[in-house]
Amino acid sequence: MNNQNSMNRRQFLKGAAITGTAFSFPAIIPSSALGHDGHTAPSERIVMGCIGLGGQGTYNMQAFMNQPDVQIVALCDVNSGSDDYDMLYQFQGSQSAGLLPAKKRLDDYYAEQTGAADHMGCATFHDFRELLARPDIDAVTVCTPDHWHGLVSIAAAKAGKDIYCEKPLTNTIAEGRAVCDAVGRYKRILQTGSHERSNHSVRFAVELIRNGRIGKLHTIRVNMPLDNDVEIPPQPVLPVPKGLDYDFWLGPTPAVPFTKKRTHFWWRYQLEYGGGEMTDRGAHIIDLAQLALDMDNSGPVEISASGRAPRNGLFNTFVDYTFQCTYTNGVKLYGNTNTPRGIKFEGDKGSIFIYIHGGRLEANPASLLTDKILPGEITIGRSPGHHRDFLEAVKIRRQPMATAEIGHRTGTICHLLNIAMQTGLKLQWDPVTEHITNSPEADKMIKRPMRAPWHL
Amino acid sequence: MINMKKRVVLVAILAVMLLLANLSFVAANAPEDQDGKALTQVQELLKQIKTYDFGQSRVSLTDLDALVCSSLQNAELKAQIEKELLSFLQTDASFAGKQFICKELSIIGSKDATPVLAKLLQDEKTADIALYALERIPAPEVDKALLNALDKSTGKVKTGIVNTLGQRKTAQATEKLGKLLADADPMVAQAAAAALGKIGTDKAAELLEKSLQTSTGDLHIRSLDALLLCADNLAVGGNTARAIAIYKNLFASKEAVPVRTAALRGLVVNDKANAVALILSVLKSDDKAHEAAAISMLRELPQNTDFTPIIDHLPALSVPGQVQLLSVFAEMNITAAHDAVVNTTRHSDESVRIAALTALAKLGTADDVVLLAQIAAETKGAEQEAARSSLYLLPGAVIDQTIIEKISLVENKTRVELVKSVGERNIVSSSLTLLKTSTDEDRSVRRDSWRALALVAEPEQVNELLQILVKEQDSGLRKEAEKTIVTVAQKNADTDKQDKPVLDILAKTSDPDIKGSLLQILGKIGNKHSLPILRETLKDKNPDLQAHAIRALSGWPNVEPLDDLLQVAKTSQDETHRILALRGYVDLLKLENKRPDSESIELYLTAMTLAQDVNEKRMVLSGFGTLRSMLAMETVAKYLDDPALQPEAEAAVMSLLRSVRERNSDKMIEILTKIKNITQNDETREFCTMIIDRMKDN
Repeated sequence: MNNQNSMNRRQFLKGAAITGTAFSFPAIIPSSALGHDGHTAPSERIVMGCIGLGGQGTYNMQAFMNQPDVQIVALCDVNSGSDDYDMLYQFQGSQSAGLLPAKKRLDDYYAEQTGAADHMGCATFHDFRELLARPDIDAVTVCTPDHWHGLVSIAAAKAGKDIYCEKPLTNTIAEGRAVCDAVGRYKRILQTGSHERSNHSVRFAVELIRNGRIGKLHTIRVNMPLDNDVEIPPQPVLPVPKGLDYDFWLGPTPAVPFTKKRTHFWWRYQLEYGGGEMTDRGAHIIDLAQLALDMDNSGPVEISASGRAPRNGLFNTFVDYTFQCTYTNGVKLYGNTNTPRGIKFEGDKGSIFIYIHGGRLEANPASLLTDKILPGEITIGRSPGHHRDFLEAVKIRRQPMATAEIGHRTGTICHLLNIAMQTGLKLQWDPVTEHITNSPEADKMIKRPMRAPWHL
Repeated sequence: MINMKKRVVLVAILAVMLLLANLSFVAANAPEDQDGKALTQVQELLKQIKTYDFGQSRVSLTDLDALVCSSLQNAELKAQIEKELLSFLQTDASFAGKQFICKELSIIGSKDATPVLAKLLQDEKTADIALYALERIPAPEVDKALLNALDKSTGKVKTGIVNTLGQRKTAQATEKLGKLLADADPMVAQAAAAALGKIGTDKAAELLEKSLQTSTGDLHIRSLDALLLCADNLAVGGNTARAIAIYKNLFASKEAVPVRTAALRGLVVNDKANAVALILSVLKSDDKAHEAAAISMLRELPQNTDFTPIIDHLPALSVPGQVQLLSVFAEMNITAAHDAVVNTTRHSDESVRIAALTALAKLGTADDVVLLAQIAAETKGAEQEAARSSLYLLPGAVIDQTIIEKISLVENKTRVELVKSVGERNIVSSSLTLLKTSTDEDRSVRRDSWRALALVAEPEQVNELLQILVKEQDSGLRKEAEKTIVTVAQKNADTDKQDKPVLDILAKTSDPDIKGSLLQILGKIGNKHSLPILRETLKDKNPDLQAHAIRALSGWPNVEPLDDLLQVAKTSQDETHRILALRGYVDLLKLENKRPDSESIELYLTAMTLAQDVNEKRMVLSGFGTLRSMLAMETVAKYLDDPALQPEAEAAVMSLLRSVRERNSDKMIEILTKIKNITQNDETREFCTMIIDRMKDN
């Protein structure tokens, strides 16, 4: 075998850029990490860093930590740790999330794996730019609040890192386009965290729909009920808690004083930092409409929505809503806050309902669910799991299940629905130029100015 | 009585009154009045917002925002509201109030807003909110104001202005930004570089190139990214030659890998005629940093590109490179790579072989059918899975035809794979072939033939299938045949006729083993005609046939034979029959039904009385988990005290926890506390703790 043939996976990923530093982490290399006992050798491992370690960030860290061919060497968060995260995201053995609790979980895990008394190999950072500057890191998770997704992902792409970014991909449409451009320009792999499209049952349902098993698809109905009580009273201004770099947390958003429910889990119900249920769950459910319609690189052309947002307290995202999107092929997508949470595809010969989360299917006729997809019919492949799929994509430089473009296009619909509710306008959308064509004012809302020094 | 004259006068008066009322209604709802009302509301709200501070009720802000949004399609009202908002900014209103108003102005502001907002740029405290508004106002006056302010500002404000100029792509700022590349404040210099990248003109590129000759550190990195962005913008704008020159310089440089990768990508996308040669030169060079990136860039080229040089280079690539290139060939459906892919199926590295086999799902032809079946027969694990998957996915009727033709021509192991593929591919025309192979001398071929027949055979063929079953000597294969016949019979839309061929054969059969098989089939089909026959067989002299009947009733699709099984469980002297019947009884109890839970609990408790040992009791207890009432939870919780039954009782409670509808929190906390204290399972203990805490909180 010649020299070219002998290049290992890691050299392949990083090429000649790999230097001695690449192998200086972890400081204590376990025997299993040397490739014994069927474990993956370091030369085949993907070295990762995790940016954003709140509830979902810690969950994703654990999901990657458990992969045999991943070594997490660096963690980053502007919050050293807090007990204030929502109940939903509390973890076994701890009530808190943030940088140090995540580090403890990671160190404990690696120590247990290696049988060592402790694990010292994980570096911690406060500023994501410092983590991205490390040449040994191949890939990062971006699990910050939504208003940071775009900037961090773009910086990661420029630094030559592959990216697993939580959904929604960005907090505005313009940020989404910028992420896609950066990922394309620097040839990086990006997986959006819209993991419902990795469910086998979902992919099977989509194949049934695309192969005409429910006849001509004409209507899609989305149910997106809200779980949490967001009608809270005004929140008092409070001193910034110790351990939180609040100005960094605010980042590109306007300067406002700290209050407890602005941060952690609850940021998602404030339009500066998230898009409410519309982007939070829409990035899962509406994403499946795009997949089934084979419109992953496009979107609807007309969007209308009406909704109610709290008027008084801190939160201002929409809680009750109905909406309608029209695609160029005439398919209508209707949405509301009804239960059960999921998405129904209606054709002239039948229908399929996909429950979110988990992907349980119901069909009419029920026999659809025992159908087989035959050779020559449209198939969309299967995912080995959303995190695993990302790693496989990184290894052979293929596109993952939820590329940047996919995440951006789904996020675009969610953002347009929010803009339609904010402005009260029926929006005409051009998916090619990515502009609202019937209202210059609404079109301005596809991007948002950033507070210096941050910029897109 | 009112006379005619008076009546006419009255009607006239009424008509005038109605007309006046109508006119006043129209006047009150005239657009200008509505605008006036909206404007008054805006003024009132602004008075409230003047003292608004963070942490207070947002009602006035929300209402003002709604009014602003309602003006979006009313130019006159919009202009009037803008005027009010600008007046507000010139008062001593709170910072929080002004911040909010700037956000609104960013949507409806016009050139008229420029002077007021520009004034806010002079104060570091309000500069951010002014820039927020200015960035989105599409007026040349804004660019002029920003350029004026640029000279008078420093630090973060200056950086913000530079960022805004970049975001607005203000070409007039190019010269000034060029000078700022050398600013003493690194934050300003880096912002200037990024802004020039966004402006993206030839001049901007020139300034960046010049700066790169001397810059270092973060400014250098930022300038490289900006220059790449410039090149992209130049290419989009039609100046491809200039863009290519930039990409070439950067790719040939010693800059960091990500920069050179982006430059390479720029060259591939913008110089497609030379792209294959360029990619090949990278693959042949010592530049290992770009092998993966170069291969992935093939996806950027049209499918009809001549990829021959790349295909020929496949064997010379590294193992990961070959895996990647094979997946690109498949993804792009590059049929010219077919032969190279086939050759690679015998590569020394497993990951390459798997990639090649996977690629054949897209690129394979009828000539590859036997090869894939052979590899599936020879290998195990992921390689076998890849070969099978491609064999199952290869599209086209010619593939189906080839599979059928080859079945009789290949050796046994390969034949098994081809038979499997017939079912997976649902080749309906293959059923006659499969009927033949279901009597093959090789057991594996027969087994897989039965499995495939379940998928492709039609109800009209049930009789033929039964004829083959009665001749099958292997009891294991008869079980496979039973499953197939049930599946095929149930495809008959006329449910009354599903069991007819089985009953016909049963009437003519004396062999107890065959009879047993036929009874199992009848049980699974579950047609009402068969129930009397199975009940009758429970009284047969042959105990084996009795056992078959019990099993058949246990597999019945509804609860109809519940009493029959209960009777056997209560009365049978045969220990095997008793246990089989009890198990069947519990299985039927678990089926979907409309019984109230209280009734189901009684039936389970009856079964408990019939259970004679711990294992049987455990089996009965497992059924409680399918119920949905608090009563069921309380009933099963009583068994938590029995150490032998505690794990099953615990599992049933955990299952009920998900489905119990009417919750009795106190009782539930009591039960969960008990489990928490006695369970051997750490996860269950933690889960109980969490649920108890939540219930107490609520």
